[in-house]
Amino acid sequence: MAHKKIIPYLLILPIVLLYGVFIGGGLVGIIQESLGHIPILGLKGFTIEYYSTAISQNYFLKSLLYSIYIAFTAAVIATVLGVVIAYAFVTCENEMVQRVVKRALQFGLIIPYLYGVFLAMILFNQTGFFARIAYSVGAIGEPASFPELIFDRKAVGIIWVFVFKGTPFVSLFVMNVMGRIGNTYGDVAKSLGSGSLTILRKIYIPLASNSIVWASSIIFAYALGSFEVNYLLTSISPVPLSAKLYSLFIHPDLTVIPQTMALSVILFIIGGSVVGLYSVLLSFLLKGRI
Amino acid sequence: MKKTILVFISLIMIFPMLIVLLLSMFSYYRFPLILPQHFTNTFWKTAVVENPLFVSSLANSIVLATCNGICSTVVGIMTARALVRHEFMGKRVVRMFFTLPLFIPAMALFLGVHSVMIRLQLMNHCSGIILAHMLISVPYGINIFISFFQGINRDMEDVGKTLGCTPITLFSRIVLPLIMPGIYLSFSISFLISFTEYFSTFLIGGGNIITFSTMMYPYVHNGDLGNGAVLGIIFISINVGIFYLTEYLSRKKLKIDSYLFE
Repeated sequence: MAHKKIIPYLLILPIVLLYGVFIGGGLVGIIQESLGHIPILGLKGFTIEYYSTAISQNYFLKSLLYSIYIAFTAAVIATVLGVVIAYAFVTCENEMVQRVVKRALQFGLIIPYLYGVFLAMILFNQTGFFARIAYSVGAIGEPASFPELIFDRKAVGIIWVFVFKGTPFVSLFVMNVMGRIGNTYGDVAKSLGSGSLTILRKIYIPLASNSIVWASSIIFAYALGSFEVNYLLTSISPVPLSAKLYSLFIHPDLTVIPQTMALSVILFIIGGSVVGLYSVLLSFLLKGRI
Repeated sequence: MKKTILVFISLIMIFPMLIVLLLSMFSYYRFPLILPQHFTNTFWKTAVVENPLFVSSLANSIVLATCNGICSTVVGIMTARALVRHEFMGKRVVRMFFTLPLFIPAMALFLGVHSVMIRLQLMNHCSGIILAHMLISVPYGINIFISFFQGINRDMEDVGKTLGCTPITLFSRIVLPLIMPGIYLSFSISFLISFTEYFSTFLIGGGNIITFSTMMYPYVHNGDLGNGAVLGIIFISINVGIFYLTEYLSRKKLKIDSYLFE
């Protein structure tokens, strides 16, 4: 009997080790470095001055809010579009259309983020595809009068990439759950005179709310901490926190390392809490309770 | 109405790739032109044939992604099995925290992983990269297998047990065939995550191990349209290929679906 009790612990051993060593150990490692204890650089002893330095930099708050703005906008747009597409997909009775749409969404899902950046450059540049179309219909006279959509302060390019990649993720995920709901509830509601918007709001969204919250929070977290999209498409000022963190990380002056690590701990903790807050708010909004 | 929206959405998803396809084959793209002109195959030559990193980076990518696919799937099966079928201390904690890596901002997560890798001397090693990729692909694997294990009718396992199956035969003859579609799915998702991941590969690989996505980064960064387009098309075709292969394999297994989700 005794060996049977061990089985579940053996089964979870790999994941506990993986998470414990790399997430737990990683957090301990960056906290230690952020407190200024890096013997190899001759820095010893613990101090919290690096945190106050990191927070008092004038870019800090701006970058943090900018990152949250990007992540929030992208996650909300992707979620709304994804849910609407999933609903339209489930209630659309044409199998041909369904097959085509599913393929297209899967196609969007497998495009790498790095390549999303490339697409954004081709489409939204001032000499990009949309600028050319605007020029040929006579809306603009020269490339410079096309609005700056990438490398801009409103972060349209960054948000577009996250929406382009996030919408298929949300809709494929939610579609799976909505597909299992079945037509009964919808048919009853229809015979009682509900429009499709009411059916979506009162039946489909509440029943699929868990997966909506889950998928949307992942998009939010990804947009908050992603490196390549934020770094490659950012404006010069303000800079998203993750891009700023990277430029500090590769800074040739090694004495900024504690400050970098302090910023990284802050991103870890604040980022994690903001994601948590976002998912709590969203589930409250969708279900009316936590 | 719904049909129009859906078709419109599919067009939006597909159409950037059509422009990319054209860009990889036509070289002349001055400003007011909407579509590029002058057919050429130079881009394919410079990006594929004359690129010394092409074959090695592709091989690296495929090996890493395959290893990650296998490891993540195995860990996913083990954890999901424990969560669905067994009672143990700390079950709630594991259930709550197994998706944690997906909710931590990737930059902060990987800078921490980086400092651990230095201490364990896994920097610049393939095994370090695989472990880092596993962190972000295992949660998906666990999620997939939880729903598969929950779908398996427990009676089937019990019948096997009463007829005298050893745990190993029980697993290989009953459980494994039932979760086979899940294995294909989890493998392909982990493969794709590892294949497309840029930041952790480059951070842990330290420039020593060049994969397909780290090789593509400079082309994107420098806005090299022609060569970037070629590499992107190859990249995406491989992903599409993996996706179709998985679907084909799991459709062959679909006949067992009637036993699942009762």
